[in-house]
Amino acid sequence: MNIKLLQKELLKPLQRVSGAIEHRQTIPILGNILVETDKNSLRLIATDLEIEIIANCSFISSEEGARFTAPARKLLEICKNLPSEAVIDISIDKNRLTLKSGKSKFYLSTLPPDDFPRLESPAAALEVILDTATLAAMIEHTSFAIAVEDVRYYLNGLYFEIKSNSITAVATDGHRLALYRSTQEIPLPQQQIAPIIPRKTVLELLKIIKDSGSELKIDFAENTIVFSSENLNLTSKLIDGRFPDYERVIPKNNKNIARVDKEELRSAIQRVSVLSNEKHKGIRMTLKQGTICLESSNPEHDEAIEEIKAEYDGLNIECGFNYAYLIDVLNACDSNEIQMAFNDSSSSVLLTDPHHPQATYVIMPMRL
Amino acid sequence: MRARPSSQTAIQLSSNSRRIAHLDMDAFFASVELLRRPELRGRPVVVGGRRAPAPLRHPDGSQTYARLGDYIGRGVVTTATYEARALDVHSGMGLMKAARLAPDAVLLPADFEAYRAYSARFKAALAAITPRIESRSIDEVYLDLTGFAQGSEALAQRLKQAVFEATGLSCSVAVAPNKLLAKIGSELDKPDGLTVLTLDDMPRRIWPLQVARINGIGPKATARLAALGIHTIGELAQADPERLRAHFGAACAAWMQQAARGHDERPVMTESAPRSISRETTFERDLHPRRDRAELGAIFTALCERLAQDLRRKGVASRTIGVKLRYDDFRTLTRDATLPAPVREAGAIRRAAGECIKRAPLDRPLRLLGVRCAGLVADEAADPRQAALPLEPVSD
Repeated sequence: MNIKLLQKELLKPLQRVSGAIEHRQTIPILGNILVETDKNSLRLIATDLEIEIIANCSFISSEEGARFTAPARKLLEICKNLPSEAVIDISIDKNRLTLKSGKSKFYLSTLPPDDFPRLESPAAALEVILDTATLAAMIEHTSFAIAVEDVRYYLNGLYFEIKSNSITAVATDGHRLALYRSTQEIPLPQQQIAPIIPRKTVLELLKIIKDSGSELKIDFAENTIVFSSENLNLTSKLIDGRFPDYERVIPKNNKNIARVDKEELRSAIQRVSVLSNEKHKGIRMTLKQGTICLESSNPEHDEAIEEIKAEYDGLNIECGFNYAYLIDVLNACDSNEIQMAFNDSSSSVLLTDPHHPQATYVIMPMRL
Repeated sequence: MRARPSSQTAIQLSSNSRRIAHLDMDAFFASVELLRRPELRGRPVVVGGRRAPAPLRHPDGSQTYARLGDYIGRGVVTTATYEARALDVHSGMGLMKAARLAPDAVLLPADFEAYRAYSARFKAALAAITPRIESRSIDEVYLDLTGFAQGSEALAQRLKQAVFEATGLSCSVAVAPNKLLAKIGSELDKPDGLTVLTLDDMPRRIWPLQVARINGIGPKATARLAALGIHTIGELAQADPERLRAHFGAACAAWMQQAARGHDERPVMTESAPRSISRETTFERDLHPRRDRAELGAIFTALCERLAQDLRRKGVASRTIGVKLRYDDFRTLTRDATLPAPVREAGAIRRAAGECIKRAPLDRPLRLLGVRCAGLVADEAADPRQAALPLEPVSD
């Protein structure tokens, strides 16, 4: 069998599906992509048994019913190093793939396509059409707070809470929490749907939705979620667990409220953080009438101090924070102002963007 | 086999450009004991058994040692002196069996505190020569000597001298282009050995050796290779790659053949995080999984609790939990499970290990139980300064 296509048509779909493949592979076939053709389409499929990504690819000519696997990384590296207008000619003979382009020839070993594992997609309990910009915003405002390989496995993903008039995305690693609520009418699901989407899926999803057109269909099933657009399809298993009661940890009565210029606060934190303790990343924040003072020091006795203007007439409060947690929130906020609501030095701070009420952030302090 | 002379030469050149030493202490524990008890020199001495009787000290300063032939119990040989090895006693052997082979050997209880102290001393002496040192175990290190002006033999001599001055103990050293060959080399001339190997020495000195001499080819792979008619490293190097692939898979076959040809690019790791932590215990008497359920359960829980403490002390959590069972007939088997997320608490370790045990046959008595935590990752939640959100699981 034989396929001809342009480098520029192949590269992007290949990059997109390769995101599913784990770098360290114990099962050889999972390092390969499956290529399938029918009359009008050529599909690339990759999986790590938790996620499956399918991308459609344009081609010049192709034989119907071709089906083979090829080593993903090698194919991607070869493709990346060919010029974008290059015509790529792929043919399969027994267990060998021959790739020709101009004067280059590559011979790759393949594995039997029937060994390639596919994820099952069970019947959807709920189907939602979401515009990609909204989904991207939900992920961009929350994904940084998803736990990484936490013992509490249900924190290693982004929680979606679906109600009749809103979808809320929540992420927490146990030290900070990020929430984004999008208001839109949704057909009420038959059963309660509360998926926790694995961190890797969320990050891959963000990469692929950017070139997926304006709308995306989401099928929620019992243990699986499927995102599909015209050219792409991502199926992922869900984290089997219950997300904690996040509402309880969002402070409701923090009365000491400061408003500051976001950019000013961010650059000040970045400067002060240079001399903070590299290991625990703590900086001290002191709030007084009209100002916020930031301080850091490290075991080598270096110190940094910076004071910035703030709208503040609450109590004098001094507390410590992991500066990376503050920077993450400030990077996620869209407008030029940030509001921080404190209770006292040992309780959590609530951060909000006064111009974009969809996002809410909670950060626990650090003892310095 | 397709010949690719040009790439081969390139690899050889790059490999020969490094100089890696493997240094292995000679009969380490036993040698430390002899150092402290010079009167035992020349006699077969065996170290092992937690409850082996300590030497009896007499008022005139002389000591009476336990005779191996009198030992009753189920301890194993930790180390044997070369005199004892000559009688076929070797590490890992049951002490009772060793007693039959060398009844007149002296038996000493293991004194790990002393061995650790000597280990620290010889490693410090080596670290003074080069900071590029990887500690492989209590009595074994790799050193990266690339860039030294001295010749390999002189350098090896310098390492041996430094170890001797620091501890009074002898060791065996090999200098080679990589870790794999250095490790094989240090075995070639034991004890008090000094070996220098280059890739040119491969056909003459390495290829006639058994495949099991390659670190990483264990008894199982050796048996499978033997079934293919491959016994020596040379035969492995020249075996048909396709045939190896068919039996061992592409990655394993490629690795074995690279190793047999003397190629190994692993760097000397100066700082290595632990890969796994394990705890195991041999019971005072064999315990039956059903009849002695309560006793076994208590030992199992205690092992998991000690592992949880080990994890906490190292600031890591574990993704792969495994168990090791040894039956009364000495058959040993392991079962492990990789979890969706790392665990660090004794309860979670016990649950996962319990699932592993269920996958093993439990129809006969056990003499040993072990639990192992691998797939270690840094435990983010370990910093006590950072306050935590009061997250609570949802109750139905």
